[in-house]
Amino acid sequence: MTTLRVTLLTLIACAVLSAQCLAGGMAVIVNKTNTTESLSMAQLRKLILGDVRTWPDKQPVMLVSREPSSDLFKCLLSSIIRMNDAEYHRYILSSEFRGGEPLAVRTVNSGAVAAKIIAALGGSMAVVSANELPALGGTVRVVRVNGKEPGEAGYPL
Amino acid sequence: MGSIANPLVYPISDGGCGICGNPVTPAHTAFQAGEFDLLFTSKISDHLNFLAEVVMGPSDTNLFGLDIERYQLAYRKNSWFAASIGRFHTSIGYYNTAYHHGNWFATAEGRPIMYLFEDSGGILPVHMVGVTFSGEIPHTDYLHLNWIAEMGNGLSSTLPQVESVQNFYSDRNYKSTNVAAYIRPEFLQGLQIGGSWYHDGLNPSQGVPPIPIAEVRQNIESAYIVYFSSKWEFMNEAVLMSNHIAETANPFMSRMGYTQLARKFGIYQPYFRYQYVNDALNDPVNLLQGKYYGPSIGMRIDLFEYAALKLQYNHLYQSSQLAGNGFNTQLAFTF
Repeated sequence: MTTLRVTLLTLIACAVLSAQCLAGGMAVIVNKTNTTESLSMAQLRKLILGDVRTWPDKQPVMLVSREPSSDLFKCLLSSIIRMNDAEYHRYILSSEFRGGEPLAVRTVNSGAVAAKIIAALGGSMAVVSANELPALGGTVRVVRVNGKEPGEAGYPL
Repeated sequence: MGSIANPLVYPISDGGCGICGNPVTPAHTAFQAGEFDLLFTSKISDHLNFLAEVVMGPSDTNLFGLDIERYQLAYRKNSWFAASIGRFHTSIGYYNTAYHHGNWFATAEGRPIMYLFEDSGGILPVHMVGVTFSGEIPHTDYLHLNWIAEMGNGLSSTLPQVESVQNFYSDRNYKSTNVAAYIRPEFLQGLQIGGSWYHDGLNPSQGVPPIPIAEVRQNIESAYIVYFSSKWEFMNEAVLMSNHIAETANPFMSRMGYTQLARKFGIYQPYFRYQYVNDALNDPVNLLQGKYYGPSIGMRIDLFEYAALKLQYNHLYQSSQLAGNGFNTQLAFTF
């Protein structure tokens, strides 16, 4: 019984640590015209990996990504994609080699720049630091993840 | 984007392991210049893309040759419908469309024998010149059911040929068709289960040179189950090929398959492959005949993010000769 309890506590601790790989957590932002209200973690993963290229309203997905050296990008890889940097690049290259459409990605160095691009481009999305949300001033819309909003109990990012 | 495979192949022993690799493993210990593979992609418009894969590499004549392995113009309406025209890999099984010439992408050194390229002695119509349609069936979000339908020239009716893929000239009006389907269930990320059915009617009497036999009806069925995670790779495939000469009683049946298991430990990825190919003797349209089976064990070491060293030991039995051992190394990288 003690062993089971220790195992469960370890698993919970690991989950909490995984979710908190970035202080304040992460948030998914999209253009205000995007009709998607909520994404599951699996859907979010597919969008970032390029496995899904269109939104339900048929707009093509364009990713706005932080630079690979940033803590946010590393956190995104470990907690959403569950790959390391090399595996992620191999996956993307492999997809292109198999004939997949090249992934449309714009790399930026801040959440503010990401928000500016997203406000201007209909199908674009980004994962930003949740701490940056107040500064974005409502120019973009935050998508719920697993039905939860950032800061809400049970929010996975 | 491009890659180079096989810049250095150093088989310590190759007794009987004549076709363990691709290109063919040399009979003697050799440093071997590898394939130089260039991939070109271009987004022409929101829905139109172009892809070309050009490979330069030497053959056993020691001459370098240039091959356009793939080039296709693809129209993608949405995730439910895409169409492509050109020269592409036929959707038989999993490996054939998952891995092409860039060996850096594949874990093991070389393709399974059953998926060898036509110009390396392979018997399956790995390449097709024609059209392919594909898409995901709407409202199958739980299983992600995908379909593929293809039509093309098929392979030439007589073998061996300098080029058995009918890129320009077709020796018959009959066209090959292939349909395939697969699922990628939501409940287990990385799992893919699928199958395909290929049909063609070869006409050796119209081939070059003509062979005086009736039409050969070719059917190829495949089934596979593969699983990939960040650590594990597990591939299992089986293919049954039947070549049936019209007005004869029994078709020539060829059975083939392989299983491959790999596990990552940091930069190290040990792997194991067991393969089995049993091609019917006297088959009128197969170049490769007889039984080939045995294990390969290897280690992929990702020395750098875009460069990997592969060490592979093959123990392949052939019906025509004694069992053979082969040790191959491969340095594959992409840029």
